[in-house]
Amino acid sequence: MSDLALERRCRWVARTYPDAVRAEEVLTTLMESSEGRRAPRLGDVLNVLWHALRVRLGSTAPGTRFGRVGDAASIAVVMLGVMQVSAAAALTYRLYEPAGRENPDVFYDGSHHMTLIFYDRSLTYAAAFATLLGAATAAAACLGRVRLARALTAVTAVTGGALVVLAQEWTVDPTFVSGWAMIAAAISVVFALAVLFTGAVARATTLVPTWWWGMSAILCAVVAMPTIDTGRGPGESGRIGVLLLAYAFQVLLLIVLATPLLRTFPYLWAGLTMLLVPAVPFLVIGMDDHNTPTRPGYVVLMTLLMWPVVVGTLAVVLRIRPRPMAGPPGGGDG
Amino acid sequence: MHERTFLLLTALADEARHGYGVIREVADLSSGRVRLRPGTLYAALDRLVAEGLVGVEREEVVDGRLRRYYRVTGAGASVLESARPVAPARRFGLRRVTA
Repeated sequence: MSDLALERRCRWVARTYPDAVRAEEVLTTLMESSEGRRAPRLGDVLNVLWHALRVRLGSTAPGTRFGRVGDAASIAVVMLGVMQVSAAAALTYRLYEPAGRENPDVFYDGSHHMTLIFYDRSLTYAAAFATLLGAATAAAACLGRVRLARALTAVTAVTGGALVVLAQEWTVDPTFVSGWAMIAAAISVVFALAVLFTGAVARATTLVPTWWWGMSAILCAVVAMPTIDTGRGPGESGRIGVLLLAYAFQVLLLIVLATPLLRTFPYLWAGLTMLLVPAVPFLVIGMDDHNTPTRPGYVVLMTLLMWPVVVGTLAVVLRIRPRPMAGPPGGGDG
Repeated sequence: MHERTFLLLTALADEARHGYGVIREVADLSSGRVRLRPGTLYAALDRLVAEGLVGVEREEVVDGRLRRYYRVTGAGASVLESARPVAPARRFGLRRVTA
């Protein structure tokens, strides 16, 4: 405990707290919990840094409901909404584009239809930025554990994802759009209803672990990057990405809505996981004829998509016993 | 009530404890299954203090370092008493509150 090196290391970590008194307190606890080691545990250090960051971001500041993180998330959600409206407007205009109306089979005839190119680009960028903003919102909600932001993220991310898919599929195959339009409409209706019952959505989404929101943020960002990079359109890898994104959001939606049930009946995790693991590659490959499973980007995306499933499996394996929600019949504690 | 919250309140039910004392007590109550990390502990304490379930009882300076002792308030004891049996540690909690 008297080791100066230990104290120096602990003090460095504790100083991340903005409050000096709290920092002293954390320093004491950090040193004591080191239990004679010459350095604090790495997990403890990261944990302190994480919570100090949250304090600094204001999410746990006394007297504030959402804090600065919540404000940022709210702004991001508003911006996301604007982007989505813009994208929808561009898409609507596209439906009445003369070239598309006269010859719906030729849509990338850009050299003769500058307006078409303009709206293609607008649509692509709007969709890409909507996805990125969704990622930012998810990240903010992840940091701040803001219920409202989480609920809105769930709503906007899913509709944004559906819109991205709708837009990209439209540019490739106009006949394909009807199916996605129906899916998007159905999702929009579902989430429009959900918005009316935001409290219920918030309650459901707060049951989703924080890591899941972090994963969503990473996933959104990874998927959005190739979409932006190609500029004119997402290209093949981008299309695979948005298809994967759509599937990811469908899984997310399923988990968000089913989590209360899963908490009560954790063995459903096992069944769901067993269904998802074999279904993912088949669904993705079947959704896109141009898919090339050996493509490195595809493998990376697949890995990213698969790991929640893997984590779900591990959760089942490691916590095989149902979480005790109440005392067993008979009044004992088991 | 989350199990960790329950264990934390339980740890502070019978006597005032400082940060590391709470960490050890929670580990004992859960038979080593739950180990609170310092950041998590103080985030939870801040929340519980803001909700009036836990209060600061006293402060000490030991070897030049600050120790702050926390204890469950009356409201916290009531909450602990009426909490659903979410964990085996419930038994310890009930014993302490009713003692």
